[in-house]
Amino acid sequence: MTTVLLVDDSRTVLMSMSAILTKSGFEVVTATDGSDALGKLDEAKPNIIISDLNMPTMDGLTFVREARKRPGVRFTPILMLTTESAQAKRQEAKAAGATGWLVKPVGPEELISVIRQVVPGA
Amino acid sequence: MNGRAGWGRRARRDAGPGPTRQADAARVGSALEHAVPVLDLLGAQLGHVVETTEHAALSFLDEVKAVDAAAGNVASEADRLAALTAEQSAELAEIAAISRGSGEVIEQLVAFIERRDRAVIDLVDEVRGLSDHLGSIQKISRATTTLALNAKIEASRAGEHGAGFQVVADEVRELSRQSDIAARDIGDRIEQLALRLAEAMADRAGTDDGTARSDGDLTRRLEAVAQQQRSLVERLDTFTGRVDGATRQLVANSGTVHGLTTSMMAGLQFQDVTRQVIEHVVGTLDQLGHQLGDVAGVLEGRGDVDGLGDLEASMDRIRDGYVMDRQRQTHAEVTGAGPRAEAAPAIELF
Repeated sequence: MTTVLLVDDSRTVLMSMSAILTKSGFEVVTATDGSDALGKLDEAKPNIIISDLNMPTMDGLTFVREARKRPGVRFTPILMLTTESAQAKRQEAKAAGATGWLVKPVGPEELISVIRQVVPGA
Repeated sequence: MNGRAGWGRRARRDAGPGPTRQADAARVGSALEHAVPVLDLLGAQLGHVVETTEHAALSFLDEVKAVDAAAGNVASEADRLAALTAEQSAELAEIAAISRGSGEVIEQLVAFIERRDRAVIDLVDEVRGLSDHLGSIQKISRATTTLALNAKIEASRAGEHGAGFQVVADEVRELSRQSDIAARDIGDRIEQLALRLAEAMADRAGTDDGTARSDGDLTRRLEAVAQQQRSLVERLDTFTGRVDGATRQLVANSGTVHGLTTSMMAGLQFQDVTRQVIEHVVGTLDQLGHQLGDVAGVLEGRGDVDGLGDLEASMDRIRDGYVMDRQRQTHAEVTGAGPRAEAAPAIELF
């Protein structure tokens, strides 16, 4: 089963997206910010990470940079799911090692479709 | 509203030294001091809106998940019902085949009974025909008796030479008499047999409980039973087809509900979007409150006018704090300036 690490400081997003992903057959692990997510990487061993950008304690860009330093996460797809739409931020995320960018609100079909594009066999 | 233009006009109108101006400035400063808690209040109220919408969104999510689970249960039950319907259809097909076989057996039985009836009727006719032959035997017997009597008379006339012949004539006469008796007896038995056969044909299948009074009645009832059996199977087949159709519709509807609940869950992202907009507005109100406090302090003689923040720089900070295209568009529409909204795709893979 494909495991998704979902990182967001919004409880609404965490719970609604978890429900959608669970319904679609994914196993979901949640974290409330980048620091929390880093602490769960080793145990969760996610096949894909979906992270918000603007979060307290550790934002999404810092989290991506730190996560890419982990050998087990070096090639794990990381999608940014955020309300942010600025092109400059996208380029920062790309440079940090993000795989893609999704602007909230994203539809369930689109979300699942993107996951299946970047995770073969998901 | 263009705040910068408002501040500019007021600054020009209030220009000029004097005690009256200082007193007015102090009163304005005092008024502005009262505006600061109003802004704090607005910020708190908006913060409460964020909490309320989050609570409402999470409650809504719980309810949607419950609906989704119920739809899932309905879909599972519908699947189970569909399996049972399919199983019933297979059994009905088997019953229909058996029913058709039973019908054929009944038709064969009816045909057999009809053929047998015709054979028995023919037999009765033939038995009655035997009576005619018995009449001929009786005529021969009577003629033989007459012949034996005549022979006996002629033997008497012959005297001693005819004594032996007279014995033969007596024996012939006795034989004729016995033949006549036997013929009558056979005739009686044939008649009785014919009567019994006719009676059996008229009421051969009569039963003690009176359910069938004749072969015709029995065959009609058998045909009716076969017809009812076929009709029952057809009705059951129709009913099963309707149940199957309803079950398929139920599965389709459950799938629709499943899709709708998923969309509703995704729609809850609006709460995060509005939360960020409101938090930005609250931050801006807080910033404005500090600026108003500073202005009030200057007007009341507690601060230095050079220490006031640049309102234009404040607008820039507000603009820089935006995260959504929609915020930037609104900013540009209201201020008549600012950055144009970036047209970037909502989904982009690097």
